[in-house]
Amino acid sequence: MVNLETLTARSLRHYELGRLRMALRVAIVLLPIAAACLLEPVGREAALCCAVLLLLGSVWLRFRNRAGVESVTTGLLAGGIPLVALSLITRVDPGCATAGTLSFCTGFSLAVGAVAGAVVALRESGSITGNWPFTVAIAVLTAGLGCARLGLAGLVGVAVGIVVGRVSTRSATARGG
Amino acid sequence: MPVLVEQLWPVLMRYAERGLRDAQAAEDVAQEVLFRISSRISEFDRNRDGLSWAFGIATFEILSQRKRQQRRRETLVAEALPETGSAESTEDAVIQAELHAALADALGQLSPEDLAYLNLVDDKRSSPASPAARKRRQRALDRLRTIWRSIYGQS
Repeated sequence: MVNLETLTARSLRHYELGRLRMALRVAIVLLPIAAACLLEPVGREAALCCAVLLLLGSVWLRFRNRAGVESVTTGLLAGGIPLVALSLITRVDPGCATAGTLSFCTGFSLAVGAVAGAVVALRESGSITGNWPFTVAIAVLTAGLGCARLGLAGLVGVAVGIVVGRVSTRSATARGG
Repeated sequence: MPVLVEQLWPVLMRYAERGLRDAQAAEDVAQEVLFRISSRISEFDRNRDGLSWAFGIATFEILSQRKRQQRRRETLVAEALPETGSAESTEDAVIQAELHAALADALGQLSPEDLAYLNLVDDKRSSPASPAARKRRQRALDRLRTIWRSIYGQS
């Protein structure tokens, strides 16, 4: 005859291990993306910093609770837009890497950041709910993998764009809905 | 988790007992099911029916256990049966010995040259594969057949 207390303790252990396994699964997506971004010779240290913070933050959020899982998913999806766009623009216009603060490249960072912010707001308005500061942080770190080459101006531009995009989309949907 | 275990355990035990008809196996399977549910519950979609999901896992484990039991029974039956085909019976051994003796008798009536062409002695004539050697080997075989038929008939 099995002891219910022992069973509960073992079930709890399986539950915690299951949560950890689920949280670590995000590495399957993040590690290849980070590796691809780190292949670029310019801005490697900044990209590495973003990659490490992103991985640790994602695993922690996913382990924490379900809202954390949603925050990471939304953040990665939203942050993927500026990641791809800014990686492309540095190939099309290598001058972006050394451009000043008030340049086309910074403006472009703001614009794609706004698109990412809109994605965050739209996913929040659906049935999926996360914790918006964490979502924005994950999105910024994801974008940071791609815009590390643009320097601080690019990163700040994306971050501001995400916040502005989120706020304006939420206001627009609140007024419309 | 304690509440989940307290409520789910009796249900899983009854289901497993009904599926396996063996109390010990049912307890093992029910434990395994409970641990699987615990490890996967953090990913479970709350829009789905939890009990159906749990029963799905339990059914899979019960069917797997039944297959394992069936395979164990088949292995035990196969081990209990005596080996056939590889070991010769006494009668077969006697028949083989008689045939060998008959062949030795027939070969004893062939000339050394014929034995060489049949590759039965270590002789230079046995190695070459020339048309002449093949012809001589064929003649030696024919002579062996003739000797055999003269001793033992056509069968």
